Amino acid sequence: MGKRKDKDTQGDKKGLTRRELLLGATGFAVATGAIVHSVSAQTSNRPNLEGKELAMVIDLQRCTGCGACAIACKNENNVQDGVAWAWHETRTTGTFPNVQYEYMPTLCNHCQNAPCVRLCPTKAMHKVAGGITAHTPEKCIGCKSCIAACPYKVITPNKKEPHKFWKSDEQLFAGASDSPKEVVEKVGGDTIPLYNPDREQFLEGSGLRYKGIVEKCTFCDHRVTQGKLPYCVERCPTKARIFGDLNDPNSKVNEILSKYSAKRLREYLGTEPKVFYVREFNPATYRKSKGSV
Amino acid sequence: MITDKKMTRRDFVKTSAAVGAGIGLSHLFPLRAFGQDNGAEYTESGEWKPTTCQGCTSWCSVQAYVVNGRAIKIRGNPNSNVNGEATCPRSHISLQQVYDPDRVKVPMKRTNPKKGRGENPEFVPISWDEALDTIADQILSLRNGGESHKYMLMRGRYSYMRDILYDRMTKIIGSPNNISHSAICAEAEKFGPYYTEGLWDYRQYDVENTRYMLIWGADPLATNRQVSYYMSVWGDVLDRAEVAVVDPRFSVTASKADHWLPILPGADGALATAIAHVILTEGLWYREFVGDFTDGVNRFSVGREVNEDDFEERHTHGLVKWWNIELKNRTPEWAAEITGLPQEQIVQVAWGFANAAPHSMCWVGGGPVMQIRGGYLSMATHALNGLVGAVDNVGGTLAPNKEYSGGFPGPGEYMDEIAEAGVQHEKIDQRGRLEFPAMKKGKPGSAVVTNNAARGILDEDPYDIKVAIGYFNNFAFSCPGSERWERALSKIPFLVHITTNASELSWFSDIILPSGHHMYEKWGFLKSAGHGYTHVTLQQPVNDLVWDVKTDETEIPWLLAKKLEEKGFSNLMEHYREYRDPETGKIPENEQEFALFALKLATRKLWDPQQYAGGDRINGWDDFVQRGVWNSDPYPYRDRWGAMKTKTGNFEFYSETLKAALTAHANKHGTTVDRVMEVCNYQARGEQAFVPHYEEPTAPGDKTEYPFEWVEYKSRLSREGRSANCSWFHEFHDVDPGNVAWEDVATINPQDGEKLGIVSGDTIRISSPSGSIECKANMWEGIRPGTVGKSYGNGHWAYGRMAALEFGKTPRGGNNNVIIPAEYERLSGATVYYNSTNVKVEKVT
Amino acid sequence: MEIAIVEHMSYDWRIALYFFLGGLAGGSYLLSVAANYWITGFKPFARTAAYITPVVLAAGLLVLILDLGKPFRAWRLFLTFNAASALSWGVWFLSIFFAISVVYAYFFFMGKEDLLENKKVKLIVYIGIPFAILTASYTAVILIQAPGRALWHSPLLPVLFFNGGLISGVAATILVASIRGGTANIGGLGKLLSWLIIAELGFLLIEFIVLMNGGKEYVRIAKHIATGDWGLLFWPVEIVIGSILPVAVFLFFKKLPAYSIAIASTAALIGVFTMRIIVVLGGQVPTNLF
Ligand SMILES: Nc1nc2c(c(=O)[nH]1)N[C@H]1C(S)=C(S)[C@@H](COP(=O)(O)OP(=O)(O)OC[C@H]3O[C@@H](n4cnc5c(=O)[nH]c(N)nc54)[C@H](O)[C@@H]3O)O[C@H]1N2
Ligand SMILES: Nc1nc2c(c(=O)[nH]1)N[C@H]1C(S)=C(S)[C@@H](COP(=O)(O)OP(=O)(O)OC[C@H]3O[C@@H](n4cnc5c(=O)[nH]c(N)nc54)[C@H](O)[C@@H]3O)O[C@H]1N2
Ligand code: SF4
Ligand code: SF4
Ligand code: SF4
Ligand code: SF4
Ligand code: SF4
Ligand SMILES: [Mo]
Repeated sequence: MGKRKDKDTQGDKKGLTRRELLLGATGFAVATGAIVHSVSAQTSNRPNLEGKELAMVIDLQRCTGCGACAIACKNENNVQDGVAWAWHETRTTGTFPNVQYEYMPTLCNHCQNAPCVRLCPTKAMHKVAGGITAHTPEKCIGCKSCIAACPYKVITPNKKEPHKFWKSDEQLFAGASDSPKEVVEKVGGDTIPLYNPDREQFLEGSGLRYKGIVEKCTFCDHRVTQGKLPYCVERCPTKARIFGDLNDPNSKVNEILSKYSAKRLREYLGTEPKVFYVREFNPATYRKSKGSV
Repeated sequence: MITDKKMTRRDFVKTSAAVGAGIGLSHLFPLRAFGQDNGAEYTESGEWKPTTCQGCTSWCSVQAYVVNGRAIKIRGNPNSNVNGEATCPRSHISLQQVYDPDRVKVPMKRTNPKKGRGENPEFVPISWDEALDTIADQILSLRNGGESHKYMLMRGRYSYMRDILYDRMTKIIGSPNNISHSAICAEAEKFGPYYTEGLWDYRQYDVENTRYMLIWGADPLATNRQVSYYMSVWGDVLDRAEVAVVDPRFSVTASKADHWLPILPGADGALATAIAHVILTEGLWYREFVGDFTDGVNRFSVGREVNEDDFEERHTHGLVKWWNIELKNRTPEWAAEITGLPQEQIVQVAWGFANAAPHSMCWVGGGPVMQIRGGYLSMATHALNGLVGAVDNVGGTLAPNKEYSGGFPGPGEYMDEIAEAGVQHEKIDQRGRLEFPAMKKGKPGSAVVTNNAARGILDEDPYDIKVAIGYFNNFAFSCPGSERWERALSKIPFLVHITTNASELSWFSDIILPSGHHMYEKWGFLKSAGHGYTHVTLQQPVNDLVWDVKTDETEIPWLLAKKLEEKGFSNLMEHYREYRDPETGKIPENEQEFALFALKLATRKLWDPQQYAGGDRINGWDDFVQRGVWNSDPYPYRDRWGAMKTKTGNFEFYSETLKAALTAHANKHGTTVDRVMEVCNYQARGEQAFVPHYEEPTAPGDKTEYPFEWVEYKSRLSREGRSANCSWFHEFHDVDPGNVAWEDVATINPQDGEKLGIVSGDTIRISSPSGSIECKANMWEGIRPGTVGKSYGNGHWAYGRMAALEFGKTPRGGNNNVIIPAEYERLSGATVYYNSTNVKVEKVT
Repeated sequence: MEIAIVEHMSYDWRIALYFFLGGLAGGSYLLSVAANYWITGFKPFARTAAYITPVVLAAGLLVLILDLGKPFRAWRLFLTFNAASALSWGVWFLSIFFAISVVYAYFFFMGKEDLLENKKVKLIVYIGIPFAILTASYTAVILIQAPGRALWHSPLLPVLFFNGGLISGVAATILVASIRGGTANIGGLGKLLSWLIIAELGFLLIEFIVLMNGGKEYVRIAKHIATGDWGLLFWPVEIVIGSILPVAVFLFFKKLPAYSIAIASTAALIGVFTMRIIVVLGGQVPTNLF
């Protein structure tokens, strides 16, 4: 495309007018693009989330740092090895024998003021109804600017072809075990035997992503639009993840937020995350004392 | 079933998108619109079907989300009163197991006659018929040669259909050698409860009603039992109860507890007896259960003997004896020295624990008991539950609730004289010999000594094993001193492995029979207790079977019986034909019917309204299959007070039950209990052998050569030894505090790291008297200086292409069992994992 | 079985290279225009610099596109415009600047320098000036738009980038000129280069003072670059080779052999590129979320 421009600009007068034409045309395309884009990608396709402000509260006292949320997320969303929509950060502090270990589950915060959306040049990353930060694979050029922009390490690039393993036709035991490819053929599914067809919604009709683009948590838009809780919330064995609408004064999330001073990750950046953390991972007690000098 | 509903929907979306929309601009319009449309009538494409998870011994009742015969998600079964909707992270990994490409999908036979770790078996696929034919011939030639006892059945993980293969088949063939994995599991953990309260079983912990939890060598948020249930309530438990964790390693549970007692490995006995000492001298015991001095004046004071007549016990026995024999000098000062814990902490914990009585409990896991001298640690730690009246009490430790599943028809009349003679022989694991009392439920020589079977085989003592079948087990990986098993298995002329994956044990096998996966491709049932209930939960074939695999415990024995019958030995088949459908009385005609009828038979009292005995009222078989689980009646607290299955009927601080058992064993060998103690590596002499008491910790490996103590523990994502070929196990390995994703690490305290010149990420070699492994080092403050910790689960050199770095050759990481020597807690026959060895650590350059 | 570790690195060396080339192009264009219209002493360099611009820019564009996960979707950059995204603006700056630079170079190429005095043409060339500046500095704004990356979050960054652009523009011109047989008054350019580098060092100093007095994340990244892993690149390459060496050569030596000029100017180019690498990659050290 750099090349096409060369031609247009080398001719002086004629070239100029041709360029004008081109510019005009593109301008128009941009305009229509913008309109169609806003119509299609913004709110219309998630009507029942209209007016909602979806949020998640993570109760660290309930959380045991088990990772089930993140594993379940991969399961629900057909996420490949090396990519994570839900993840975690752990920290061991102190010196033996006074040690503390903490686990913090992470996921896209669906920031109200989302840097990833701001920087994305193609609007592939955009906000939709419910305050969800959504991503349109078709529009993603893989410039990775959203990854640079996200302060929370929750967007992952597809550097390699996803689920490549499952396309291999190597058998461990010739004739006695199946190649990954054969497994999928026999078991069913699409590319992976655990393929979850329910995930197809909002991902251009396919529950899978492909090399070159980025991906991240969608707040399980395919579920919440059906009135179902996000899968990580459903599968958290400790009920540490609580989901709801901040705009509904009676929602559980609001009830909990009214009780504790909630933490949000790197709040000082002004991203206005929609994932809130309450209570301590370890609410340990100690013997009363004034200490000593 | 190759194409799913969604396929069609998707194609529709795709094509219609292409139509009309010019390729270039297609992204601007389209797919969204459709997304919206089918969004309107979008429904889940699958349904939730019940089965049971066996990723650990919690045996949670679960439901699998099945799309066109393909299970793709797992959740807890809401019908279960034990785990309800909760399942732990491991449950999801089962999904990667069932679709593991490396699974064996048809029978295979070895073509390389030479056996050994270095010998590639060169397996080739064969038909079920050929496989069964060969096995039947081998069994018959044993019987015809009057050597039926040289047949051995090894059982690993199991369902309660087990006896069809494990017991009935072995007996009817005529062998005493049905060797279960129980002794490499947790038998020593049952030892203490049995010889104090007559309970040979795991306890339920009434955490929702407790005020103080003293947890010994268990990490219930990650492992142990009912993990899903305990996790699900822990956040609330912490609001009500104080939690203290005794563990040399900063476990998950310790990270969510009030107190961490990083005890020196094996020193638990000192801590337990010291706590008992404090409770008695401070007069903190729970009188309603234990009783009191006749005049209410506490005479327990340091070093002073007490007159037994002055104390009147209620539901306990031998408190004063215990004090006089063991406790009177077990002061916190003394214990501080041995345990490496501050005296104040010991006293503080003792007070906290006792003050909460009777709503306080000792949770005892394998840590302090699966040790060389663990038998008495098991008693000492559990005895504390007696002192505070926690046993069978609200907020205390409970037995499993009563359940009504039944067994299978007896083998008796189908055992011919060959069989009768065969089963008389001594068992290959040498149980019952002087050095192996193995006293399950008070009977000497009644408990398996799993790991010693390797020695029996190698030494041909009592005799050689010629034909063996192993199922759902992997002793060449899961047994300490694994190298012994590699040799022992190589020595067996004909070995069969019933398995999903070609694991280490398969490597030495002559025939591999592909098994259906326990969770998705099997009819079976399991019982487990927690949350004040026992549930009996079904394993169901929720998946469409797409491979030529059979069910280990039912279909395969049936098919073998059929073969044997064809070859003239019909007893086994005749026996199996007794397993009639309880509804129709129909005699099973094929392996599928047999599996189903056997299950209906064994669970009949639970689902047949005519035979209702208690618990959930279930409306016939179909209803049972629908619900997937039966729940017992709620727990009857304190029913067992005064009615315990001990010699005295009471909770025994002075164990008449153990005394009888030990004496019986000594008499059997015409010797004394002191001698038994000696050969079993215990220091106790005289009366001490009958009370919970302190024994000096001991572990193989001279400290000058092997300066570090070994801290063994289970990985949170290990489905026993079966997770390593699943990517989620590795990708999320760091959910174990101290572990690193995609690595097998040993945790070392930074202080020690500095001395050794080792930093995180270094490759290290860990050596013990029994071998050495290589893994990565991770400097971590959560491990006690002077110890090295490492989770179990990595280090496979077979099993699959992810489990091993190079299948059949190079392990990924190191298997702890290479460096843990084969040692025993001989009174229970249990294998030793904890404080099991001393090690040396070197940087690999 | 391959190991797939979850990681979140976004921009790699290719983006750094693109930033570098963009700056260089801006710099060379400005130098050429200045030489052609205002500073008669530099006039001989106008042509060289004019040629450098479009060539380098084309290369930059190529690198940028090759870095995309989906290069063949690059056209989308022109179809969607995100007013909030510096990237989105940049695409247009770049295209317009590229077009103008080509036209500009075209006149030299056809030997029609005289036409450059033509009012209309001159207007176009002057319009190129702001676009040259924008192209050289907007890339810094992309980084600024990523909050929570302490190193990137500085109002000075565009200045640093722009000045770096000038440095590399001048250095490149010197290099090419010296290779194509040393032209007269190259020393003059050398002096200009030196003062630009000295200015850059000044900005860097201020940058560090800001970081060292910022929050913990700022201090952390400053240390990371000054004393951490990146220090190995920063001190020897960016400071010694990239800055001190050329300044020493051009300021303190009177008459210079051609090769030393070539070396010194190359060193300056390396210095600027290194600076881009350190900013882009060093700026991405993960901050933990606790
Ligand atoms: N160092 C160390 N060793 C340990 C432990 C430890 O904590 N540390 N834990 C011990 C404990 S508690 C136990 S219970 C034992 C368990 O040890 P084992 O009873 O030997 O069981 P596993 O090793 O879990 O797996 C057994 C084998 O069964 C096969 N298999 C897998 N899935 C299936 C299936 O669905 N059906 C059938 N038929 N076969 C299958 C595979 O070949 C697998 O290797 O390990 C013990 N070993
Ligand atoms: N995640 C997971 N859970 C499991 C299993 C699994 O494979 N994975 N297996 C299941 C099976 S088969 C069984 S039998 C149970 C067994 O469950 P447990 O008997 O509880 O065994 P571990 O989980 O190994 O826990 C042993 C604990 O003791 C600690 N420890 C080590 N040495 C000492 C010591 O000297 N003193 C004390 N006080 N503590 C010590 C270890 O750090 C570890 O935290 O777990 C079941 N649950
Ligand atoms: S699943 Fe729940 S408990 Fe487990 S890590 Fe996630 S939030 Fe914490
Ligand atoms: S968390 Fe990251 S990805 Fe999610 S909205 Fe915020 S900035 Fe964007
Ligand atoms: S990678 Fe895709 S989503 Fe991210 S900023 Fe670039 S175009 Fe937008
Ligand atoms: S909300 Fe859905 S997509 Fe987001 S982390 Fe949870 S499961 Fe994953
Ligand atoms: S606790 Fe054990 S049985 Fe229950 S879900 Fe987890 S792995 Fe399965
Ligand atoms: Mo076990």
